This record gives sequence, C-alpha cells and structure tokens, in this order.
Amino acid sequence: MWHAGDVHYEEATRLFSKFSRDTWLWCDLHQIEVPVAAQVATHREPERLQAHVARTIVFRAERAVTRGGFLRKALPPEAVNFALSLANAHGWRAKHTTLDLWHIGAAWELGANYFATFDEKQGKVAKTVGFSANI
Amino acid sequence: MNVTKTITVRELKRGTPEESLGPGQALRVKKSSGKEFLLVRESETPDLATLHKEIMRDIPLTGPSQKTDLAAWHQENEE
Repeated sequence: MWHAGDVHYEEATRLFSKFSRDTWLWCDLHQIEVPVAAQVATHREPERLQAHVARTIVFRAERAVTRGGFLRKALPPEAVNFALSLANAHGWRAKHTTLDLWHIGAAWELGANYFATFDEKQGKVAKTVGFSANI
Repeated sequence: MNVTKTITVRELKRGTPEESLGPGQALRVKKSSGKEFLLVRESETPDLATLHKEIMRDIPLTGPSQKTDLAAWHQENEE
C-alpha cells in the first residue's frame, strides 16, 4: 500500500481506503515487523528491495500511523496463548510462522472482525477462526 | 451519525461521558424540559483515501521505482 510499484498496491490501497476511520489496528507487532521486513527485503537474493524504496515505505507507514490512519493498540499478552492454540490446531498440517499466528492472535484478542493479508495460508487460518478476510 | 446513548444534563455535568465517544459518534443530552441536544465528536483523523494520497504526495520516492511483490518476498523470508 505504501509502494506504488508493488503488485498488491492497487488492491491494498482500495482496501485501506474503503473502510472508515478507526478500522485498522496497529499494534506492537506491526511496529516492529514493518521496518524489519523492509530491511530484510533489502538483503534478498537475487533481487533486493532498493534501500531508498524500503526507507520510503517505512516513512510512509509511520506517517500513516501518526496521522491517525490506524488505531494504535498495545499487544495483548493473551495473543500468545491464542497463537499457540492456532499452532496446535493447524501447525501440524501446514507451515505457519510465529508471526503469522501471533498476528491472528493479536487481532482476535483486540476484538477485530476483519483480517487483511496477502498471505493465503494466513488468510485461511484467519477465516477458520471466524474473521472476514480480503483473500 | 451514530448516537451512542442518551444522558441527562446532570450526567453531562458530573462526568466526562464525551471522552468515550469515537470520531463521528454523538451523545444525546436530554434536559428536564424535554429539549434534546446532540454532543458530537468531530473527526480528528482524515478520510483514509485522502490520507493515503497526502502521504504518497508528501513522502515521494526519491529514486527509481521498482516492481515488487513484497508479500511474496516476505513469505519467502519466513520460509
């Protein structure tokens, strides 16, 4: 959504813009994951995310949070147990990472009812616990 | 507009019920005379489509653009 050259830019922007204010949650997981994921992508092989693009994405995301595009929430500690229960239920049949499940656990504990992701595996698990999702 | 509840003038004076209002939400304040007033919280955050356009304009890419699939790249990294 913060990089016009990305394949999901149009869809992510449309999704972000169609909901009302105070819809999108931003918790500690996003706070750490967005900049770190951008940094990691700059080390990808063979094609790296260019550093100036990565920094721009991070700046834009930070600006969106400070301008009220997201509702900031503290990460609920209960999200860990929920993520662990998801791992027990789904982790033996498909590969899910800690962060993937933790995000779903956080969304659940924060009372979200909609889950936005472009990761099909994560979206599938989110749907099984009752979230509406974009994929 | 979303009116969350109706309160009396006394409740308004004695507490801070307006603090619980989200952007665009309102309280109906009913006087003993029967007159009713709406207490509305004005929006503090801009429309999201406008906000997105403003951010893209205010923080331009300062070099060549690049075609990416960042979601797929992120999943690669996790695997």
